[in-house]
Amino acid sequence: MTRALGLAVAATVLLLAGCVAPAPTTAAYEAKAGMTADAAVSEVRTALVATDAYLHGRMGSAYLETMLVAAEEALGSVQDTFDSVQPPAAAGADSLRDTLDPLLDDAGSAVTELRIAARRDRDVTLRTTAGDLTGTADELEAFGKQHR
Amino acid sequence: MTEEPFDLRLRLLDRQVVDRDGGLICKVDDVEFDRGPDGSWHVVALLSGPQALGPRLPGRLGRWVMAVGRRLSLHPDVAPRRIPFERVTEIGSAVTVDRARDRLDVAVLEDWVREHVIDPIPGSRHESE
Amino acid sequence: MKRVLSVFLGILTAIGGFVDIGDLVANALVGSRFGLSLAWATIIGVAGICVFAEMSGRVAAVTSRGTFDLIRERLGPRVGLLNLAASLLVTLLTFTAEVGGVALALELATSVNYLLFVPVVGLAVWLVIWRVRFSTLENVFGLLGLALIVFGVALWQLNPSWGDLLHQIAVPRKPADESLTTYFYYAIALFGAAMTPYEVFFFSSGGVEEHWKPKDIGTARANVFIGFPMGGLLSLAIAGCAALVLLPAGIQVDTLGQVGLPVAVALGKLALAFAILGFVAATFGAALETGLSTGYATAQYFGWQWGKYVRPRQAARFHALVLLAVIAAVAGVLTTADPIKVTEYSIVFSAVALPLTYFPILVVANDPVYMGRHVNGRLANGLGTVFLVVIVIAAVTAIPLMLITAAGQ
Repeated sequence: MTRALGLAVAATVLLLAGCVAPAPTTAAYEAKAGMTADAAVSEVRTALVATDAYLHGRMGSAYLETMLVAAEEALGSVQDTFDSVQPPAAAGADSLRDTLDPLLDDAGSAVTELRIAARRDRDVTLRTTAGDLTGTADELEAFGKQHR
Repeated sequence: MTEEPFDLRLRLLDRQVVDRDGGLICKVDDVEFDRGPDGSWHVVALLSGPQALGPRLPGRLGRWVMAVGRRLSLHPDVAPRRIPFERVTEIGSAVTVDRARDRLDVAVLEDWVREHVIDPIPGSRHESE
Repeated sequence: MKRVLSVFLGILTAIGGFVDIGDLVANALVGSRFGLSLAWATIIGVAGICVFAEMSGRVAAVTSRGTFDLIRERLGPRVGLLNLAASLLVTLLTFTAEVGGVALALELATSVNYLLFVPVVGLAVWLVIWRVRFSTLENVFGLLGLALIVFGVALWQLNPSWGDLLHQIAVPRKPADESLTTYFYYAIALFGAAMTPYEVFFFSSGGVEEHWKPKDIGTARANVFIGFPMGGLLSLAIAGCAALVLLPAGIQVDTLGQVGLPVAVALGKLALAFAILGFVAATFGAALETGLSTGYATAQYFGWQWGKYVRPRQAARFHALVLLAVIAAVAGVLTTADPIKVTEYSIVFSAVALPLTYFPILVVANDPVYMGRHVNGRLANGLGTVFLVVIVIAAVTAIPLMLITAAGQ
């Protein structure tokens, strides 16, 4: 019984570590890309809603900073996980990556800028960066919907 | 008059032993029998502690518990803590024993932990506030 | 008059103390992904804990004994030990999650990294358990937890279509973009969050700590049947706020900050401060409860003197155990494992451990030798049995669903 339990634990750990294997088919890779975009949208919109609340005086700076740091880390991790997946050798797969990666880059650097501006109390920078980020968020959302 | 059979396992074993003030002493981890002059078996004592509980746990776990008991024991012979059955005044949801707690056999682990871990911490003698 | 006040206090404490980090995370997460289509799981969970908390409170009032004491008596030392081991693991995991939760809440208030708060939180938890009287401990953190009412106010302020919300609750429909297995996985998670095993240990041991007698059964029932459901309403409010603000934005909850975001959007800074206060109170209170519960469960199994109603040196092993548990929980959070993830695992494993806790209580509450005339009536037995079936179903399907859905991905 202990061995069965140990196997169950091992299986759980493996599955939950999200062990990354190369996506075997274009469809699976597309689904992965879609999920990545959705996850990125979640983090980006979190940053945007929080920044907006802060700019309207509805949130303190400590809360905003904490949320932006978390969003930045999560976004980085989402991108790293996606990039570590070996794309299948089909043209469709590469074009997916070529569309998604720049969006993820833009999102990541924008959230970093937000985080820096929040720490420095640069409200103007926050406003303009948030404006740019909104466009990226919408594109990511459209990508996610398209490749679900 | 027929007496209702008293199910030891259900009504005595694994019961909490309390003193007359309601203080918690131990569990009835095992029961000691003895043969009377007429050949019938009687409960003679309540046994408690790792040496009493160990044999009732399966396999390696039981042996480990008994080994812990030997380490904790003050005496070279490892007898479990023993409460003579005459001390039992009541068997209800708990087993009430008529002596105050500090007059019974010493509880090695409790004393050790009290001396080495709890007493050094300030406030251990006070009521909570 | 004094009696009415004390009952009122008890109810308020029960409401404020109901929510812990598991409820905060689970309800916000589910609201942000499923709207209110899983509210039924929270409602069933709250109903279940009401039934079993009443039973365990009644048992404590009549027998003056704690749950684990009686678990060993009825199930024997072997099954009792297995039960103890499983319950301890789950409770320790929950304790770790709660300590992490306090640290995360303090981070939101100060923007200081949460890891730096962890040892302080551990020390504070232990100190309060060591020195503060049981009833004070319960009342203070229970009342402070009422700050979470701000989620109800936020929900009101967001001005939803109430008819639409009620429809979502009453006629649940799984969102199209989520799979059926994920839907039921989160149903079990909500269930485990509402019915955590430690609450039963704590409630019954707390009854003994406060020297409940059969005459206190009425008060205990008021706490449970009024306080717990209202606490459940708070859980639903948290889910509702997430459904209204986070779901449309495509935000999926994976941080504590996101849980409070709707309050900021709806009500602003002051309300957000209340939400943080509520987070701290709820998680700190739950940390106290889980820490004490590890001591209660172990001491009651072995028959050691336990409880805060005696001086610490009279319950040395109990207090040493609690100290060990605090150290273990602090160490667990300091591994830098994401406290939100730890919380999610703790509630799923709670669901798995539920039958171990609740079955013995049903058995003991049915035993006329223990309970005398306060033994379970037909209603209690009927409800208890129905919930036990639900609990077993949840427990058995929890791990497979976790594996299939990769923990809800």
